[in-house]
Amino acid sequence: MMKVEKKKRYFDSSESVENCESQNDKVEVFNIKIDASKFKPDKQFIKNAKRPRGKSNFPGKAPVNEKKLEHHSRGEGLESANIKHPLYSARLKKKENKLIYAQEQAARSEILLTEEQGSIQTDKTISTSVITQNIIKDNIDIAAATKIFELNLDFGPYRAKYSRNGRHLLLGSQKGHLAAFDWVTKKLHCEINVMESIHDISWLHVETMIAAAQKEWLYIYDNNGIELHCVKKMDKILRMEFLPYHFLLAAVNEFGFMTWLDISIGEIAGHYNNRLGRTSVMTQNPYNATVCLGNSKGVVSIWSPTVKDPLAQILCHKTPLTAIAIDNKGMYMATSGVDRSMKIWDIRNLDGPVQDYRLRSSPVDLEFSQKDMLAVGLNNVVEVYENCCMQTAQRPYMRHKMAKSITNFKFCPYEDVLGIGTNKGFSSVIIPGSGEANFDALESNPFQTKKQRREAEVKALLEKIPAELITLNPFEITQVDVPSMKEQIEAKKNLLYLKPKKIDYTPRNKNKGKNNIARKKIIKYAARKEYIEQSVEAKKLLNIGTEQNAPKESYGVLDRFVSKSNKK
Amino acid sequence: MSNIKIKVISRNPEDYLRATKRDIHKLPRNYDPSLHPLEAPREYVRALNAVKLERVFAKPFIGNLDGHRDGVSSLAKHPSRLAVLASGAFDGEIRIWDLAVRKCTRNFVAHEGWVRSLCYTPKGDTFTSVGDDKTIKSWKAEVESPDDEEPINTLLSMSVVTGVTHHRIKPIFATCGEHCQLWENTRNEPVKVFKWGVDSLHHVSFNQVEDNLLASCASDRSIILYDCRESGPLRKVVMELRPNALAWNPMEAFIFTVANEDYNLYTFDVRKLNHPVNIHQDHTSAVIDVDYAPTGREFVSGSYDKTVRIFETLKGHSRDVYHTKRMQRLTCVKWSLDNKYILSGLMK
Repeated sequence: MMKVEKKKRYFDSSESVENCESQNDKVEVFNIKIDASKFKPDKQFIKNAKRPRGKSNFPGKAPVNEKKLEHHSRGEGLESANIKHPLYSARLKKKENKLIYAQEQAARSEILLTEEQGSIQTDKTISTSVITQNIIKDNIDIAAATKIFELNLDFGPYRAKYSRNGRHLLLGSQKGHLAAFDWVTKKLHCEINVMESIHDISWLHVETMIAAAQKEWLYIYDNNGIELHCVKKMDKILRMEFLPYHFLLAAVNEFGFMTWLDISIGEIAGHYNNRLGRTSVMTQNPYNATVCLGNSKGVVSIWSPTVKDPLAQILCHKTPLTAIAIDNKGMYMATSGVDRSMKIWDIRNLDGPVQDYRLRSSPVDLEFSQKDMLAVGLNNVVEVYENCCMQTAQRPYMRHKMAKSITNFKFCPYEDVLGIGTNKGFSSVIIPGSGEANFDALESNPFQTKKQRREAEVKALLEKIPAELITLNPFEITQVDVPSMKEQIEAKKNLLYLKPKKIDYTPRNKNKGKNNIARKKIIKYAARKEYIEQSVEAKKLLNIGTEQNAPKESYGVLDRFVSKSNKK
Repeated sequence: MSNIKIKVISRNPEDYLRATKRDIHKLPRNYDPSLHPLEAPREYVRALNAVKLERVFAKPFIGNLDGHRDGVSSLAKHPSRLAVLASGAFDGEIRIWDLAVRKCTRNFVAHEGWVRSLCYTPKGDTFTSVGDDKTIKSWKAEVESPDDEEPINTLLSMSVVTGVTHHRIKPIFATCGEHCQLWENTRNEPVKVFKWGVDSLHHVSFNQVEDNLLASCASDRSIILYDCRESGPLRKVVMELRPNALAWNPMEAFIFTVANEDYNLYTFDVRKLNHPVNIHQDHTSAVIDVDYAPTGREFVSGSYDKTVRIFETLKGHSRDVYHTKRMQRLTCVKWSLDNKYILSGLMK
């Protein structure tokens, strides 16, 4: 209870309080109308205020080479004329300026690159293709000359793969020999015989993990040769590719089943049959992380884990395919068939080959280097072509002949080295100018320490791209998703084929003596009525039903024989 | 074959490895786009992670003060004690809280109907509350004897009082309702009454720097500025929709921000009232209350869309938004005087 107090009421008394109403006429009144132009972009401090222009003794920074700028360009800028609202136009202009600035800075920073690319300089009279490995060995420094070496091994045809930083080499043989080593220092990590045939091998995201596709299942080993996993979901695998940014191990098996294994969580990201039959020609497109398969009918198909049909298909040869290779920028694809031809395709625009070569025999393998040299393996000869995509190369840049037949070869990243897996072992040859001289240590670092590797692994895992983002155009994610006219009309059409709502007819309380059937009918009738109303409205929207008004053809007495559907 | 020059990549490890263990690792960079494939998806994942991590580690919600049986209608900060908070509810109850231990130290029914508004005196020894029962009551902030539970002073107003605010230095406070009235603590009748038309006022606020200036929000969509030394209103700003609340910038005396019914907040400069200095968008429903941070660089707003947003005074969009699952419509927000916490009162 609140105590009731004695309260004084000022308004009861006649005493006047100072009243201010009379002065209101003089007061300024501001009327605020808000329109779009009143909204303004967030204030930011102007960093580089423009100085008055004129001739000065200090012209500023040196201009950047146009070609270098072009190299670092991410495409054309935005046309600000199309943007109607001044606010957005200003905002986008500001963003555009930042992009231009970044491009310029990237181009300028090229001056800081320390290493020089490899090359061969000869007289005009001598073709570079006659230069053998012995000549190269005599003309280069001793440290580089150790990169030419040969391993004679006994366990049948070998496949070789380099790790992503180009420091480690993995060998797997048909007869079960599996070896991993640092090929620069020649330090062996492990060497085991799995006592089964090995069909393909692959490094995983770090050099401590190896995947081997054995006779039955896929096995994962660490760099000491200890078996970590046996993935029984992936059986009889023929070829594997590792997608480093997605942490996916893509594989195709004998029966045409394609599997994408997410090796970071051990789950299968995609698994389906490609309905192409047995295919042992597989490669990945590093530009968009799709997987390319070549089948025995000469068709190259491009696959992603989430779509069960090929993203694109192209008939490249009329004979079975023997090899496919895609260059680093995802611009050109080289294919070869049993018909001894090799074609270069523009992979983003799949009509007609850019180049068509005839070779002496059908290639065993194809491979692009980081600097877009193409290695072609013909039985026991490896030919390397330079600049063969844009123009027709007349003769190979280099040739290397061996007394053994080739199974596969890989260019070593960030080195001028081509590693060739043969039926009698492995040989490493030098191809000057094939590798990228300057590596980016935050991307892949050949001189990585253990600690750096661990740190990079964590960062890479944080930046793992989900498998759903594998599409033909990797920049699709940056675009605005606007439904097309077609999709809008489809959505409207779907309205027509709405199913009437499902209604739960069982009442909550059983009513004694009342006929349920009648109630059900009423509910049903109401629901149907609603559905009909909806569809009528939808039809109105689409203007369907005009054909019903068309005059029907009359046959007089014979009308009765006209079938009902025609009559309509 | 003598005139052949062959150049091969041959890196000297010494150029790439650190010289001593104390040295930092060498990280040569190359910005060639072909060495950085899948730029767009990687950048997308990075951006997504950054946002997620920021949210994961933010955890802005500290706790709730449990006790009111009805929604909280008004809040008042103690001017000198950080841990003290007064809150009034829709059922007429006032509670005093100790924020450090998050407990209610005192509660009593103050008014019949809503507690419309609360405010502490500058010294912090008493506080004033106004309610729907047309009374203005002053209470002791600290209870030492049972007598202190009763109001020190009760004033009766002629009409409903909806807001109260205290002068920074003088023992004067202003209330609003039908008119804006100025009261002196010792007198039982208003010192001054400011009138403008027939429309009522629902919020009033003293400027804490230029301490004779006060502003009020009227239901005819206008903001009226007064000087308590003058006898009449100074300026009037008519908006397109009703302003709900108003807060003065504690550092820049000429700036105030208005929480508006049209989902926006407007910052005005007293010297140039023709158009707002800035418009703060982002709320998706009417903005109910606004309060400045003691630094004057940021302010917090509470809205009918069940979110609390923090704006920087110079920016048009909010820096942060707070919303929890159990959150209801906001009635009042306060920014604590140590610039660390945000207090919000919700409907029930």
